[in-house]
Amino acid sequence: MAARGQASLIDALGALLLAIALLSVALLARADFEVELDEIAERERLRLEFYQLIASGNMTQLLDLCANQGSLDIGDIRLSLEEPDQGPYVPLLSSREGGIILFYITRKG
Amino acid sequence: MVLLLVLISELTLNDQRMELEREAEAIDLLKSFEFTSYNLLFDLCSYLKAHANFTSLEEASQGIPQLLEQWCLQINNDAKSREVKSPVVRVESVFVEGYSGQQVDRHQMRFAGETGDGEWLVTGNLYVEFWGKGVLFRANYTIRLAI
Repeated sequence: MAARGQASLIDALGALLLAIALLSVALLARADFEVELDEIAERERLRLEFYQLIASGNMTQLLDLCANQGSLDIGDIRLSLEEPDQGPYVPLLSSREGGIILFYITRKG
Repeated sequence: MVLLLVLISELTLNDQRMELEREAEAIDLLKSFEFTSYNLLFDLCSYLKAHANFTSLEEASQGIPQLLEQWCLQINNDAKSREVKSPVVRVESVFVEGYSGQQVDRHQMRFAGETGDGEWLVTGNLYVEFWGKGVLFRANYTIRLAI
């Protein structure tokens, strides 16, 4: 049987361990949230860069080229017919003969 | 006591983080709706440019509204469009006339791939709607395109 002082010490130690565990969970959740925010920001950057590409006036030809060869690098961005396995991406729809094609805009590399 | 303080601060931080997370998700959703609606306008312009090969105003006046109807059907029914926020599109008040330098929308002309040989001026309204996370997002564009 533990002495009265030892019991308090064990309680305090238990509380400290629980506090550390809770803080660790909180820190991990914060890290996940930061990753998610980074992905949201990257998707928006991809959209903005794509708006600039559209304004260049030859987007139709670029999409035709990408549809023929499967993927196309333009500056820092990549257009691809295959859905990327990882990393943020933005889908882009294009009406073609026989239906709709989806392109995926990602960061090159 | 220490545990209680940690629990309170953790709950407060968690609430703030969840609120920020919801705001960030809402902004991302809004931006993706905006992008897809511009994507659809761009697609409509390119589609018209690629398919509207008519030799007379009478043909163009009948054929262009039909092309727009086909485009709407394709967007609304194709399973792939469901992957980009399930848009519902419709085009109204379509009017086709001969093009002789009337004012056009420069952005739409660039979307279509301006070639300087436009014969028909197409005007009308494109309506785009999305449902996402219980929210209805609407966009409305005035079409003013020479093809």
